[in-house]
Amino acid sequence: MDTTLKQENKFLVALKKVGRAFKNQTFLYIVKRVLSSLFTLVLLVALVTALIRLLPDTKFYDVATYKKIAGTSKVMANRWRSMQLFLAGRADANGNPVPVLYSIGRYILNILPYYKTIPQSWTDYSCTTVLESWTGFVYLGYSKSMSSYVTNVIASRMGISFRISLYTIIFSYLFAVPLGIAMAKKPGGTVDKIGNVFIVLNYAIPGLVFYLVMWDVLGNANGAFGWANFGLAYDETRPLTLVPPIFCIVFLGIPGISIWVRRFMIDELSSDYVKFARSKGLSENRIMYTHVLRNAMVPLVRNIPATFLGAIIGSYYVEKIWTIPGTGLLLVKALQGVTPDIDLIEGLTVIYAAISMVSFLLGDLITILFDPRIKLESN
Amino acid sequence: MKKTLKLLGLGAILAASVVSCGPTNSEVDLTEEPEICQKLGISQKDLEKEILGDYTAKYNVGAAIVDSTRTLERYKAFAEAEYDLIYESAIIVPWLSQSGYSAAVSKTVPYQAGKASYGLTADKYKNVVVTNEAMTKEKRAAVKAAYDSGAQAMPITADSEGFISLANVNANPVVGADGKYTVGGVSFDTKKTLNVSYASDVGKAKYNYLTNTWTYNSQKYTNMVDGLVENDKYGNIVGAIATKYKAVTNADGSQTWTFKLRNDAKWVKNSDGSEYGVVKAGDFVNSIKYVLNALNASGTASIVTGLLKGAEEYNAATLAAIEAGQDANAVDFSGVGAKAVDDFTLELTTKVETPYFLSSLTYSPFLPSSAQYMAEVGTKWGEDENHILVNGAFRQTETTLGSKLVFTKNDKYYDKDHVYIDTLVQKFIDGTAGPDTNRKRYEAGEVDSFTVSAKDKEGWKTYVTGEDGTGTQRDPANPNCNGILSSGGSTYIGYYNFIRQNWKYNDNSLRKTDEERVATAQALRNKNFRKGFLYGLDVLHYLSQYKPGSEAEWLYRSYTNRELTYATDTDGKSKDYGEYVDEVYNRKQGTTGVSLSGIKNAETAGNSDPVFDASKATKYFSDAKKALIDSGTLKESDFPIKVDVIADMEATTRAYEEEMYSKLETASNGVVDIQLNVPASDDENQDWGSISNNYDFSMWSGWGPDYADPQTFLHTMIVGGDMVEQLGF
Repeated sequence: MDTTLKQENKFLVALKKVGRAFKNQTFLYIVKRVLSSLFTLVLLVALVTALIRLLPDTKFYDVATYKKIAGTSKVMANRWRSMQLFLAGRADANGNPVPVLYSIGRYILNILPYYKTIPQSWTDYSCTTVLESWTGFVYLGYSKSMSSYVTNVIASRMGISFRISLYTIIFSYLFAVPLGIAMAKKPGGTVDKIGNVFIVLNYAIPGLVFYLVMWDVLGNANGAFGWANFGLAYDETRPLTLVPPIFCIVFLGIPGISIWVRRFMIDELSSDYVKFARSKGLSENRIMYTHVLRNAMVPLVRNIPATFLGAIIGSYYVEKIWTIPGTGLLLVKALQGVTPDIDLIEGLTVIYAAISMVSFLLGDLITILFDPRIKLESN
Repeated sequence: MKKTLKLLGLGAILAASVVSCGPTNSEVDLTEEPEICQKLGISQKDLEKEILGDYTAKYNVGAAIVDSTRTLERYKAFAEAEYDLIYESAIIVPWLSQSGYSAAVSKTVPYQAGKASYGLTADKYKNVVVTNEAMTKEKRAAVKAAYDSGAQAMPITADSEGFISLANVNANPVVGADGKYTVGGVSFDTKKTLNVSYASDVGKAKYNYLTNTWTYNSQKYTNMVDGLVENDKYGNIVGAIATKYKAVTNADGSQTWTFKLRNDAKWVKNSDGSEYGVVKAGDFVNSIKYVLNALNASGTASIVTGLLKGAEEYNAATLAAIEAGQDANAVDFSGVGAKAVDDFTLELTTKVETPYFLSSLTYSPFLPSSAQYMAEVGTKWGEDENHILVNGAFRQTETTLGSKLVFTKNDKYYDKDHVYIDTLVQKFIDGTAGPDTNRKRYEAGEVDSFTVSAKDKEGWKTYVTGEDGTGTQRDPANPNCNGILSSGGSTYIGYYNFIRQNWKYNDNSLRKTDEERVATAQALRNKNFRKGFLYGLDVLHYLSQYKPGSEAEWLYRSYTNRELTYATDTDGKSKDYGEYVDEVYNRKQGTTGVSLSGIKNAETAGNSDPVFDASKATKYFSDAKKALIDSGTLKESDFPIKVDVIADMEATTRAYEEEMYSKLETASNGVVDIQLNVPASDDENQDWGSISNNYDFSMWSGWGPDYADPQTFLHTMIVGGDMVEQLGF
């Protein structure tokens, strides 16, 4: 008797916990944000698919080849064209155009996470007998220009972008935060003035020019840094080749952080609790590092997840200049081609949208961790 | 409020796209004549005949001479046709060929790799030896001396069964146990990795070698798939998969070529290097069947139909089957001259005696393919590197777009002793990078060779001219830099768009009215107008910005490239085909000793262009204007004729381009108004140049040979030829 009662109690406790979780405002907030994000994602897919369908069919096959084949046989030419359009997902295997709503619906089904099989290769273009299929949960398509599945393309190129981003964030905060604090200690003082000059000059340099100049200055084997052998292009076997790009991003990123650290610190320094702490006789350093910094960092940490996850999107110029095989070049490459790589464009759009949604949510959550006073409301 | 707006916007787009995907909007209409043809009152086919007809007739004279004992006669007839193409019909303006010296620094041992101006061998990395330091002039000279004196003649005597051996009698030495490679008395320390750079990062690299015609694809697969034969370092044809051959002329005039194949050439899967059986004679037959089947729309089918007996008929039959809605694969193949006698004996039958047949076998459509594997992967075959089988020197093991390509030595390759590098890394250099990027990468040790660019002032001084300014491209000042003579390759030509269908402009002030468009089209039909371009373009001046000091050597004023093929003249001397074209030119123009090949011309005439002559251009332009007005085709007010030209995207070189065209305008005395239309991006450039043909005159296309016969060039410009698409037909 006792044991069963106890078990019932346990079950009730668990139920209550779930019930409480639903009453928990933060939890409800997350659920709501996730649901609305999913809805936005679906809308986005519909929009992008519809926009892509606006492109004329002639973008998806080589008109010159078509005309050339048509010179010998029109039947042959039309057959060839419908095959090309079928491969681009704009027509069915018989060459009839696919309705746009069907395209949208199919894409949404493809990205919904359930187990599915997508045929990839057939014995011939009548597409009756399937030879090779993709199986898995979320299908983002097959990138023709990269000859690989979109998920694999992104996964294989994400690592290096992430690594660069990680180093960049660490070094940026390592240099920028102390600079901001030093400047805030005595607003208008010498350090502050030098810092301001640095920030203004730094802002004035166009990023691309800076990259190109540093590419040559740091990489040139006969130049000032020739001894360090940083190289002109990324080489995975030599981690040193990452120094120039990381240096450039960190250098250009410092003002963006310092200026806000300084600003929030100065704001906080004039607040009542600082005056109270001073009157209590706490040392300046103690006030600065334990009390002011913590409060000043609250608005800053919100951006860290976005910066970090944003690394998946990569940096176009940095990757182009140092030929880093990251994700930054992908979207431009996909759009640039004479026949655009539709699957890659759509896949990247979905992933990038999902990343920004997740990172804003994480940003909100990390703010609560830093500042218990903040409450997230679901309404 | 926001939400509704969003949905409304979405609805509008959906509605628009539903309408736009109807079939009428997106289809290209094939039945109607192009707009410009309607205005000219001539059909597309008739215009093509009008422009190319004379030349095609002369070409046919040469092409009809097939008897192998009448090669000289054939070449002389072809030379007449080639002269007509350029100087009488004035269809093209040849101007550049890879025929001069380039100053280059390289760590590879010279004169080791296969050499050929046609086919695919020149792009092979087999036989390439890399060392740890740049090749000095002394070492290069020593290797060259050994190369020049060491040539062994290929065997010509048949064995008891009538077969002639294809064994490579000039094979390179193998690397010693100490890792040293010795040639010409010089010993080199070898390196196992070769780093080279590549600039064009074409996303859609295709490995379907049976349909491909683009060099950026063939440069990759020629290292992965071996055919029957290849070229040795002297340009001789030697066996790859084939070990010996026999050619017998049949009673009906056809010629049967029997090849004995090696039995140790293995198919390997590119993805993991695992074995997939042995390369058999049936694999070659399978390829030919695939290429000829109209279902596969192969770009190289015309090469095979022109050569093999029964090929044209089979190709037509498959086409008819498709038109009739039947299965093209079921068409009977037995009439085609391609048979596997047994696993290692292949029999190919050419329509007529074809002395250059062996050389054509180095090109893509004759590479083998496994029917079993094709059936296994289906529609994915050739879509990417991991959906083909490899039997050659390398497997492509890594492809990272925008960064690098890695080729790894195929350890199951039958001739692996002559593959000296384990890893070939092709590193991407962005197209927008400066002219000094390659040099800096070499100096940083990232690549093993580079060609000095004249636009890289610092590098040009360090490597080519030297401190005292005495060095030249042919004899550079720096001891590590060598003047390397390019062999053959493509010829670049200027050509007209006779049936223009797209008029896109980035600068609206250039936009032409309908009358102006018709006027241009009418003027281009006039031979004298075209001759004005031929004689009025100072291309030598334009070339001087690419190859300062040696521009005359890079100049090329006939179409078929030099050193493609030779024929013995009546005086018993073996002469390059180009010399026969020179003979025709000198006879018809009343000159003596002029050579249209820049490198020969430079030896005798120095830095000059035999063709450019502004006064001639003036005369031709005024003749053209008079004829056009007298015939009532055009009025005085239609002049000057606006001619759109796709401009060089790079601002530094455009100055030379503008000068060249302004000289032409001056010479034309107000007959021509050149409009330089600048593309906004690489893609627009590609679109204008090769997809939508958005030009009246362009100089940005060329042709490279597929086999050792002038036909490979001359065939491109006949009615229905391979290059006439560029002319608007």
